[in-house]
Amino acid sequence: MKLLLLMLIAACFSMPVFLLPEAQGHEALPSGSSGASGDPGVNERVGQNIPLEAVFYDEQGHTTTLRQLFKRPVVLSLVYYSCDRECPLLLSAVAEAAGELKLKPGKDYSLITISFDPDDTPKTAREAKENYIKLAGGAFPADAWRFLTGTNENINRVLEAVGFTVKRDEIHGFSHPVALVVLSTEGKIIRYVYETEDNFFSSRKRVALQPFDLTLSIQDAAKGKTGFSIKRALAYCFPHEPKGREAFFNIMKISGAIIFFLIVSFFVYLLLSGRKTRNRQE
Amino acid sequence: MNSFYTNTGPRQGVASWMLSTDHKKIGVMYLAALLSFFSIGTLIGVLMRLNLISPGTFMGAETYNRLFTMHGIIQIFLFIIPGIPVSFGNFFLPLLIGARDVAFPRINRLSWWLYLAGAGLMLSSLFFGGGALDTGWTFYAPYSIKTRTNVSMAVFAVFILGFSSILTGINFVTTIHRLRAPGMKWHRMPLFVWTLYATGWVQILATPVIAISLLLIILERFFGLGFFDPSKGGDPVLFEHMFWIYSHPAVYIMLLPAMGVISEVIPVFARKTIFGYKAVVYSALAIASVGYLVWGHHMFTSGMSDTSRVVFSFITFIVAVPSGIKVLNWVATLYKGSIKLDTPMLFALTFIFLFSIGGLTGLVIGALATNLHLHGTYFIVGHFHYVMFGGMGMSFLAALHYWFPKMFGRMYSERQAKIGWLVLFIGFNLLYFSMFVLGFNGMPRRYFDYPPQYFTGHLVSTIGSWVLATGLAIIFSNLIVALFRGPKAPDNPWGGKTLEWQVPSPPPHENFGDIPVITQGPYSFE
Repeated sequence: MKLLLLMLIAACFSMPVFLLPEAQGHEALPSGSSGASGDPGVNERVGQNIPLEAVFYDEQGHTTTLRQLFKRPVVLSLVYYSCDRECPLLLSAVAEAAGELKLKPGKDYSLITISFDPDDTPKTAREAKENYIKLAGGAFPADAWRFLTGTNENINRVLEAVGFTVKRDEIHGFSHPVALVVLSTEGKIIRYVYETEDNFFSSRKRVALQPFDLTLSIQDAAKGKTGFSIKRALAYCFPHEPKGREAFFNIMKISGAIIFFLIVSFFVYLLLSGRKTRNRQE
Repeated sequence: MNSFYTNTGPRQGVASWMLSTDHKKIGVMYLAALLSFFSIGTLIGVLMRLNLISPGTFMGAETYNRLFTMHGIIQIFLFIIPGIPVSFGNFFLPLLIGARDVAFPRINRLSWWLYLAGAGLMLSSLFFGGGALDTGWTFYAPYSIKTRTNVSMAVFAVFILGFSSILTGINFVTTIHRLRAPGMKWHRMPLFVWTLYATGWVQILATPVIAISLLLIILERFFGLGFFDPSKGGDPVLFEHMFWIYSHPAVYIMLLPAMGVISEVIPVFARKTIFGYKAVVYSALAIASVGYLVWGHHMFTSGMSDTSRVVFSFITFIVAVPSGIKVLNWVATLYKGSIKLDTPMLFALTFIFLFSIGGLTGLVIGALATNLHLHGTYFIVGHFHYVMFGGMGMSFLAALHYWFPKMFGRMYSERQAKIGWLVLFIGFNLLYFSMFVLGFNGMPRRYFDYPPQYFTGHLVSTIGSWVLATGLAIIFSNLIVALFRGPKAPDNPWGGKTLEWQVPSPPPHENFGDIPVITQGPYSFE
């Protein structure tokens, strides 16, 4: 009983820890600092505006401000064109989902893809465009999906504004988050849309977007109403090397085995000790 | 009559309750706490439904996210999981096996204090730090690691509640092994006792897992250790595994005692011994053990190998078999019985009906192909409300109406109870059946807003929530009035054969003058 009381007292003393605002923990977590510093991730900036005066090159190499392309709600994707992992999957998912939507591309919304790799050129953008327009189906108007490239400075302004952190890595170019940003005509961030992954009964990894999410976001963008992102299981594109995971699983195995052993001994003890007789004679 | 209420011991007032080690007093206190949290949780649920007939009019999206999280956490961790074992289990387990108290009365009191501490901590997490959390009741990483709401405190509260649960489990299992009255062989125990026994083992074995996973979340939030955060090389799917390794067996912690209550009520109101006693017993043990192996069916779309998916789906179908056996046994007990439709029986039959719908829709989502279509939709929400509320909730109400006369020595108005039942039944089906339709048509769960084609479904569901709340109000006002002004209850108003009906209502201190000697099974109706 004394031991139990001690435990209880210890628990009471540890409680004030939880009353602190958890500043320590949070500052260490990835936040949306721009450029190449910090961990890759998304720091959502719903309701804020992106700089529409930022200048990019279109597929023909002409300079254009974002403002010239923002004539209707925009679904913005940020990738790099030489990516051979998640980016092609994301763009194909966009192409497929766009094919399923009842909303009309070029009338109800536009698609814009910006490369955050300053080494990408209008030529690589043009090649990407050909691929994905084809995938979106014959009726998809080519003007409704623009593929842009730009300078380091302009790229960073946009990344900063949407709260994306990307990081160069040696293995495959960039580590970066995978998400779409839906914007209103004025460049206001309406909602972030994350992919859902379903590789059901198929060894090939396939990425999908819910047409439901896109429709709702675009309709809200037309009204200028900001929303709340639900699918927060954010996907990342990064090389995964499970270093040191073994120690973790070993700890789990050992503690699991100990707990299980204790429980089995408890059961055996109960079986052997049988019924208590003292109590009945009281 | 010298009931346990009048035996205050050396202390007076509140202290005579809070410091009491009497299993009956602890059971009554648990019952009061559970019902208070249940009403808070239900109120939050009604508010959520209110938002969904006109998103944005009554509250913002952030508030909605916090509300659905608090609804889930309060109903699950403070009401359903402790639920029947801590209230009716505490009160009736020693009575049913002919004992004077549980094996460790002071540990029993400690679990009650831990429960209160956990609940208090949980409620204070609404107001301190970042405020009420918005992760959903599942605390999925990596969001639970990044959100600024007060996850650590709420998660620590669940951790403490876990200890309360483990201690209750150890206590009950030991009590059943060691304190049975002479002649009370294993196969003469009432079925409610058997389900408490199976539940006790699940609590002892499964709860440490969630304790560890929740500790890891706290460590990760305070010290930035990367167990589950992919940007630090961790694996969010690992958290999902660890969470469901506990939380699926927890479904059986909620449901097994509920099934036990039904197995008590049905023979009494059919005036017939239970059909297939041993089948009911061993199906409970089968559910408890196979229930450990199905957690993966919550994660079919989270990324796992095809082989695991097929295996998990197969075991999910297997675990449905013992539940089916139980349903068949209850129905077979009714056959040629002399059925009396009193309120406890009405709730028990409602349990069978609603739980069957919940169970069969569970198979729909346990099958791989349909799961892909329905995962993360309102279909899931409909399914688990049919199982949790239609199952555990109805069983809780059955137990409350069945044992109320014994616990408080008063009778309630049968007529008002039946009216309440009818309103509740209609409201329940309006509220949750429309969720099946919504989900089948693609409405995702946990969404604050939706395109116009889902409006009708949401409207019906919200109207259902008002009807359901009215039903609950009728039921509980009836019981509260009965508590103070009800006529005195006889010792055995339903003609039950188990031991608790052989002592006065309410039972005396230490339950039995002389410990009874048992010579026959629990349901010996002629």
